[in-house]
Amino acid sequence: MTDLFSKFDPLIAEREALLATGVRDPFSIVMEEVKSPTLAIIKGKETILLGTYIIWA
Amino acid sequence: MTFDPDVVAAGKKALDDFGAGTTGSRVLNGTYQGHRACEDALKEFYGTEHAMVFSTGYQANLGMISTLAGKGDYVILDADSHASIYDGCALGVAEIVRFRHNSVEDLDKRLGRLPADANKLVVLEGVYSMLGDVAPLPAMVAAIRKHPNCMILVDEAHGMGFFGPNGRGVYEEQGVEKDVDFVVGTFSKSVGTVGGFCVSNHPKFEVLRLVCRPYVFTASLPPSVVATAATSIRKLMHAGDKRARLWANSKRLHGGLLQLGFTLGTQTPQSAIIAVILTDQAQAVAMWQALLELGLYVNMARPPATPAGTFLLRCSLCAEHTEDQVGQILDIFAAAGRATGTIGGD
Repeated sequence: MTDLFSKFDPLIAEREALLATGVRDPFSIVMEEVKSPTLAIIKGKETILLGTYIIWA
Repeated sequence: MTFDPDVVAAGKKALDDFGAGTTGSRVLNGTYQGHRACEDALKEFYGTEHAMVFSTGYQANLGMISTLAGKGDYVILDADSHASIYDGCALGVAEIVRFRHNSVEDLDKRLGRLPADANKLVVLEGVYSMLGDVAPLPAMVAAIRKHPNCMILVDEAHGMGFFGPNGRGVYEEQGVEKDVDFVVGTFSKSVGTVGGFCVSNHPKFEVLRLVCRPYVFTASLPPSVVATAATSIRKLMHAGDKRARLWANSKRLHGGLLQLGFTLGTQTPQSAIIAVILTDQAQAVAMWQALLELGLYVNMARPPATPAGTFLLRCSLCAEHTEDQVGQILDIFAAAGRATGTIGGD
C-alpha cells in the first residue's frame, strides 16, 4: 500500500538496518533524570552531559 | 486547568527536578522522561498508538502538513483554516487546493478534479476558531472516502476537552474516529499551558520524529511545561462535570446575546467560542473598547485572521465562569451594545 508515508520508506529501511546491527538509536535518547547541568541518568546510568546547550548552568 | 493545584504542583516539581529548560531538540538532548510521559498521557487520552509533542500547536500543524505532503502530493483545506494550516502548506511543496468553508459539495467536487493516483492530505478542523462553528465531519468523511489515496487530518485545537464522551473532540462526538488518520491539537486551550501535538495510529508514524523539521530543528518544551500538560491531560479524562458547565455557559451566553439583538457567528451554540459579528472596524473597536471600560475583555479579530473580511468580537468561555459572571457578561454586552449603537435601546 502506498500513501503519504511511502516517501519515507527508504529512511525507515535505513534506520531499521542500522538498529538491527545492535547499535543504540542516537535520536531517541531520554533524559530520565537530570541531576545537575553536567550529569543525567540515561538508560539508568549516570552520564556526563557534553551535548546540551546548558552553557552557564 | 491553568490554575489547577495538581497541574501547578507538577510543574513546580519538574522545575525543581529537571531545571528550567532542556536546551535541545527532541532528537538530541531534548527528550526527557516528562516528554515521554506527556506523550503517554496523550496516547491514553486519544486511544492511539502514537503521539508526538511539538513546542507549540502552530508548529504541530506546520510540521505535520509540510512533512506529510511532499512534491506531487496535494493538500486540500477548508478556506477558513487557521493560519498555522496555511503556513504549513506554505512551508511544504505540495499542491494546495481550497474548498468553500464547511461545504461538503465543494470538497467532493475539488477532490474529483485531482489525479486519482496522487496522494492527498485533507485538512479539517473540528471547531473553526473565529466563528466557533463545527465541521460536518461525517458528511465530509463520506465525501473524501469516495476518492482514492486520501488521508484525513483533523485539527481539534478548540474541540479537545469539550466534545465527545472522552473529550477527544468533534471527530469523537460525531463518530468518525476510525476514519481520521491524524489528530492535531494544542496545549494552550483546554490543557491550559503551551505546546502542540499530533496523535495517530499510522504504523509508520514514528518516522516523523526524524523528518519533521519543525519538530527536529527547535528546542523541546521545558520539563515544567510537559509536566503540567501531562497532569492536565490526565485530569481532562475525568472532566465530565467541567464539560457540562462549559456547555451550560455556552448555551446561556449564546441565547442571551441573540436575545439582546447581536448578530452571532452561528445560529446555535456550537462550541465554547461565540463570535459577535460587527459591521466594520469602527464598530468593532468601539464595541471592544466599551466592553473593556465596563470591565469585560474579549478578543477583537479582523482580517486576515477572520473569514470573508469579517470584524468580530470573539468570546471564549471557561468552565469556571459562574452563573453570576455569565449574567454580568450579558449585562455588559447590553450596555456596551446600546452605548455604541450596535443594538437598539429598549
